[in-house]
Amino acid sequence: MSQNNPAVYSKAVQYQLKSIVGNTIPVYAVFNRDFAKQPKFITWQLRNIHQPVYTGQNQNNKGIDRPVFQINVFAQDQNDAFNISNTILQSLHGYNGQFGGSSGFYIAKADVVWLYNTYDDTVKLNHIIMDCTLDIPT
Amino acid sequence: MAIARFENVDVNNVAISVDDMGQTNTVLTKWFTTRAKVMDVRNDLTIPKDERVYQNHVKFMLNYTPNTVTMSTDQVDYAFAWRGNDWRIADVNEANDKMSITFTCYRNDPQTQV
Repeated sequence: MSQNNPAVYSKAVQYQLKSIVGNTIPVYAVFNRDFAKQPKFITWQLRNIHQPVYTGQNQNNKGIDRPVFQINVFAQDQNDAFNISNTILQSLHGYNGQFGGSSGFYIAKADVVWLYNTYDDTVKLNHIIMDCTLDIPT
Repeated sequence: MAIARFENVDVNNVAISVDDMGQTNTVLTKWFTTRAKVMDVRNDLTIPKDERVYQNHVKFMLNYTPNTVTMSTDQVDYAFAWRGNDWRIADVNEANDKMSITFTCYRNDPQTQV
């Protein structure tokens, strides 16, 4: 069986996060070069692609992949950061269905772990870190 | 008699766009073409330790206009295209008589090992 393409994952994560937070909050992979001028934004990173798994709603529903992406919420205002993280949490946790729009893929489940909040003094931004694990069935 | 050197330059808008993978790209869009007084073209090499760093500098003097004042106010959002290269604005000096604005621009070549 061929493996899923990480490039497809990255496009789907970008699409899905943009569709959750809307056009007013920019979404970037890894790094936002414009961080000094933007009061709130999101970055994400993919990891742990291709784990040996089985998953799904029942045991017959075998999974082929269980990638994780980290979501970083940045905001100058702490209230904004917490509320953006809540929007993502409510929309993504427990979600099953099409992920990443029409060019994306089906997921059996998305699990979000709200890890911790912190403050980056060098860029003067509140920072909330979340992990989202996708269960992708065959 | 000294010769004033006027050359065609394009003024570009500098913006950041995001592609469908979430990658940021710098996008240059032409705003207008003008003739600038080109001054003090200087190519500079520094060798900090074991690398060569080439830096090119040039000054463009333009008339004091609403457009050039906009560029002066927010210099990171604008760039010059001259001699086929992209020149970013480092310093802006508005003349006290409000007749001209001089932009000091720079361009970095790739760093190379000595």
